[in-house]
Amino acid sequence: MASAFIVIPAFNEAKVIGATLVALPRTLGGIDEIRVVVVDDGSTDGTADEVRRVADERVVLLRHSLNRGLGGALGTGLAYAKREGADYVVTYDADGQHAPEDIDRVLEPLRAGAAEAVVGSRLIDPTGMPWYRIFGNWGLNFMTWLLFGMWTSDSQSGLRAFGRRAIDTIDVRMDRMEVSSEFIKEIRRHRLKFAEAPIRAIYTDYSLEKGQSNWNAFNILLRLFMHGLLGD
Amino acid sequence: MILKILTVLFALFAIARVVVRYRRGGTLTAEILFWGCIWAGLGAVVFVPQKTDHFARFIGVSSGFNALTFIAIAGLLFAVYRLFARVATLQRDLTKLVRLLAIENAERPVEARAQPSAAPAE
Repeated sequence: MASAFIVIPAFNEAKVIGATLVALPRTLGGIDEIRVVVVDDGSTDGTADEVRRVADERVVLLRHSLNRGLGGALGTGLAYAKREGADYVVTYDADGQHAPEDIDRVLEPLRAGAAEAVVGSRLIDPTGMPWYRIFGNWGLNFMTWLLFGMWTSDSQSGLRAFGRRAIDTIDVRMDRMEVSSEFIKEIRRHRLKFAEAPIRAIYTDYSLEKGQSNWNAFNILLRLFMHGLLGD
Repeated sequence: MILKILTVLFALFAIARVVVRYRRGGTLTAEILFWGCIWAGLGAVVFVPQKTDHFARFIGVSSGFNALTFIAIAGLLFAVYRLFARVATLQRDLTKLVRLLAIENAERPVEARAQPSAAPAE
């Protein structure tokens, strides 16, 4: 009996979290149990109340009493999934930028045994992605490769899937946006079998406003550099 | 002259802080002696700057002033590095604590609605 935990970090996403949860697939190929783990990262806009309103028995709500950032929230979701014995973990953005059917797409290489960690890449087919986002993402892909020696076409993707060995071994230590590059580092550090799956990004005014800007890319680089300097 | 006065005032202020901490019981006698010597030395050396040239030649720079500047910058860089490291450790500990609380208090909203009197599941 295989279980998949969909981990959704959410910080002040009250406007969209309900719709994101309702749109999640009811079934996934080869999966007997789905759990949706929403990590409310210290939201102040009633995100937790919106999650509670969703009539879905699969939903688990974990609440951070303080905002700890994307990495902190993903780490909490992963720790919970590990404790509950999840077979697969999928990380999924709360802002509605992922297509629900892409969850099956990132799980496929895991079920087939072709990979232990999968990143859903928006840049294999970047149709509809603003050019400045493509530019910023390639810059961070290059820096991730330079720092950690592993190339991926979308190091900053929020849609990822991990199998059992990845869940057990990946140790998330970075608290903020730089965690996306840290996942790539961890995949390389533990020599996990890696694959990319093409996914579609849905850009709305809301997701563009909430997502990473190119200015954030500089913050991410600075934080990655500081983590390296401090030997994290 | 102004630099000398400012340096002496700063050294006196630093010594006063050390003495206050010692009286409150937060400093060891060995510490007050160490810091007293450092600050008193700094206050004294501005009156005989040429004496620092011997030390400068010993460590391989041209003048005592340059030597003091290099040492001060190196000391500050080290202090900043230590502060960054300490803050990073505290941040990580805080995240661990917040995470632990979140997992211990996990909610299953639909189950909680079905059993309103029950404690949160998990």
